[in-house]
Amino acid sequence: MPRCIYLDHAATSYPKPPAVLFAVTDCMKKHGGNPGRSSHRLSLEAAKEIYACREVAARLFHATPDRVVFTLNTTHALNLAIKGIMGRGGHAICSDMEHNSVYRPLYRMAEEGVCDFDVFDTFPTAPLRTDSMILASLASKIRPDTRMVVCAGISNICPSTLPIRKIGEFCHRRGILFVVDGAQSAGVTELDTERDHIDALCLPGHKGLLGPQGTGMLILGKGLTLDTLMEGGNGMDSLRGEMSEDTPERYEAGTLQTPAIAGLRAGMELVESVGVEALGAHGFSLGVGLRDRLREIPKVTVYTPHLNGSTVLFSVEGYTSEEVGRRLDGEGICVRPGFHCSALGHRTLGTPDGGAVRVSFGWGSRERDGDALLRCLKTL
Amino acid sequence: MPRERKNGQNRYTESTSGSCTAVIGSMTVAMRAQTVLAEAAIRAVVVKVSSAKGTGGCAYGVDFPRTQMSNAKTVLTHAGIRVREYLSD
Repeated sequence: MPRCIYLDHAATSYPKPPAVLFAVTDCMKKHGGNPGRSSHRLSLEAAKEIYACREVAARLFHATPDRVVFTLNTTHALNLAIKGIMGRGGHAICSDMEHNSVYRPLYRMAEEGVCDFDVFDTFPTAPLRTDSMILASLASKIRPDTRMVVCAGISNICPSTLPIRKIGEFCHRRGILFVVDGAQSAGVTELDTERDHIDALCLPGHKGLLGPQGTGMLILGKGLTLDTLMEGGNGMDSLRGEMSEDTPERYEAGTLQTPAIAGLRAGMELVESVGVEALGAHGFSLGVGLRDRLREIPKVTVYTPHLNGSTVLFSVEGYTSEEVGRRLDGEGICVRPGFHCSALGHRTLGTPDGGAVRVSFGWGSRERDGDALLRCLKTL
Repeated sequence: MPRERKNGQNRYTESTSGSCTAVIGSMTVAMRAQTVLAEAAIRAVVVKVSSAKGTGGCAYGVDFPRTQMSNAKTVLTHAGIRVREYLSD
């Protein structure tokens, strides 16, 4: 296999830990039944595997196993939460840095007249931004019919973070539901559904939690029942036409991806054993180090250079982001050029027409990976 | 090893022998019930209950010794686990 320096952890973590690979294979060999469908041993073994993963997720995000809903990815979880809450109308608010997985469901629902939404400012380009500025901007968008605030803890394109706990308290005091996109936060920063007053926490299994692609989770707050996004068999109340209200099965129509969920459990157990703080600090220090060295290259513009995190967004004068991405790929360096599925975020940052290059560090990244990238950029 | 309950079971009545089943519905909640009962030293087994009264079809529950009925009820209530009904042999 040719040399590969992987710097695209914001898209998905790679390589996966050996324990994850083993768990997937082992599950496929040993637990081949359909979980929650029957009373034979293989079905129950598969159900145990699923439940064990829910238990680990519940520990990591301070919930109970029955509030852990498995989804295919964060986008699926966000659609479930957003449409499940806003499907009957009202007003929603999202931030100006949201991924299309938040923006597009809201946009479509607004276009169809189902609900309205507004966007609050988070000032990522302001060197002196404060939490108070962000909360004041959010407060200015509140309406009497506001039912939901949705935002990402960490942006997927730059190191912009939001004060999740403060926003959660703000929403809780006003009786507004709070949905968090934890796509870039899970596994690198503490997320606590109870402490942070999160009603719906939407997570990827395959990024910071180190599991396989095809895994995601929606962690529900206590007592929250959503409208369903999809209906079908879930192994219970089979004679009824409607989905029962029992969670998490209410939201899990169809057979679950048991081997991938087994891998997700192994990934989360690794995150638990190493520690979320340590994993976050590793990517953080590499990101900050690269950002500071990138700023010394005259042709390079770093976006949000005053913010610290594991992601660095930049452009190179005279080159489109795709040209830079191709050049780096030619040297075996995997980054992500373009607009990163974030229309709102790129508009907010004012990146050029050709987009920008995103470098994102993760659990397996090393300082020499950033060195290699810098060497290549200096030849442009 | 789960057992499959059949139709025709009696609703719970006080007795000192045999087993009874707390019909819960969700497999996940049944497993959670098994865990909280185990923490209270009550050995329970997850069972599938076909056509149990009020379930509208298949449901999962936990089977435990009838002598533990009172304790199990307290534990499950304390854990916030909603039981649809109790069945006995």
